[in-house]
Amino acid sequence: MDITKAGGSETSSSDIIPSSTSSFGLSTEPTGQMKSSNAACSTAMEPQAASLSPCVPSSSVSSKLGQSNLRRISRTEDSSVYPIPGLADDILHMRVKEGSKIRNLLRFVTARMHGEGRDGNGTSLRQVVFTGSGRGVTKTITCVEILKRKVGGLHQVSKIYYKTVNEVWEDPQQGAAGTSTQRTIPAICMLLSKDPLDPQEPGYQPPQSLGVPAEDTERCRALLRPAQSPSSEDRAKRLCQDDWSMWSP
Amino acid sequence: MADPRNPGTSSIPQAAPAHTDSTSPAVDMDPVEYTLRKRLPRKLPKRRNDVYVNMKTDFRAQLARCQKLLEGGGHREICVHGLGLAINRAINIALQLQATSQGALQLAANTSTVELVDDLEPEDPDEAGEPMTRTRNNSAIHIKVFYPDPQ
Repeated sequence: MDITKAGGSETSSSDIIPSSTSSFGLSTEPTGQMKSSNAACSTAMEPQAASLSPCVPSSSVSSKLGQSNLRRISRTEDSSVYPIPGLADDILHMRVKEGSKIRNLLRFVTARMHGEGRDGNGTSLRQVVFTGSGRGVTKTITCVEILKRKVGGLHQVSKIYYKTVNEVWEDPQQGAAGTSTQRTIPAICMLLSKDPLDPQEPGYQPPQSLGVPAEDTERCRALLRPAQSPSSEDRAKRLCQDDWSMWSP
Repeated sequence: MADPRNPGTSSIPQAAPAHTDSTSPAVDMDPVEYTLRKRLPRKLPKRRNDVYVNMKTDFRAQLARCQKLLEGGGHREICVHGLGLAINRAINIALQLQATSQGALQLAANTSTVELVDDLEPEDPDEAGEPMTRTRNNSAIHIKVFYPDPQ
């Protein structure tokens, strides 16, 4: 099928620049692109415009930097280490970009988690890590939330961090040497695991059937029955005010 | 659920359900014109140290508010919440707080799904359109920004 091929190539390729891979994936499924045009029409157009007219830098970057006559010639990210400690090297890494289609990512990853992967020799994966940066952060979280609901019983650790991106710009008119800029963009990295993870790790979330963090449900319960069980809410308040003398476990 | 449309599309947070695409066939269209009214998100509990980030308030004002809570307000930890598009801003605020504290602050991020309700009201009251509601999901982030306990 074309769609699975597009999803696999988009997610597995380590495309630093929005390359022709993603636009090829879009052009092979025109109906899918039309249907999702309301969801991400601007993001879907961006890689295509970049690949069709390579002299013009992509609009979002140029408007942000105010260098409309400059051309970006290279963009490198530091993709060396995961912010989550203790990860295997061969872990499945889903790089969510702002133009990635959620259905492609999820079709790929659910197949691998259920052990139906084509090249995964039939064994189901225990862990998967999702990363996304910039405007792809929201999509990354949405992917993880949907996957948690689909698969169930997944332990999660989330980390947020700044990713530094080195960009080299040159002026096409003068042909002068490029100026390099360094930008930091917010990014998120989320590990999902079928095996238990360290609960002391900051950003850990235990598996939930509803996908709501424990803190929220606790607080909701406290709100619903304030007369009977005010203990959890009170304890939270006392913890926050750091009033250790009043708090006895 | 009185939703005639495909519920699978509701999982995409940025999808505007009222959007009409001229190229796609009319399977997605309602026979009667509706006005889409988005209700406000469910009111969440709010402690003194909870900050709900939105996209209407100035970024620096929200960052200053968090800094005031941590430095002047005497809180050891605050919780920064962001929903949908404001997730990016919540992450930015948390990372800025950590960067300006010279490593004294730690972050712990949790994600969740929030159910949102849309009201569909018929534009023409004479036509036989009933008011409907539709639920959709949106992603949210809850970042705990705290001073780690000395051990």
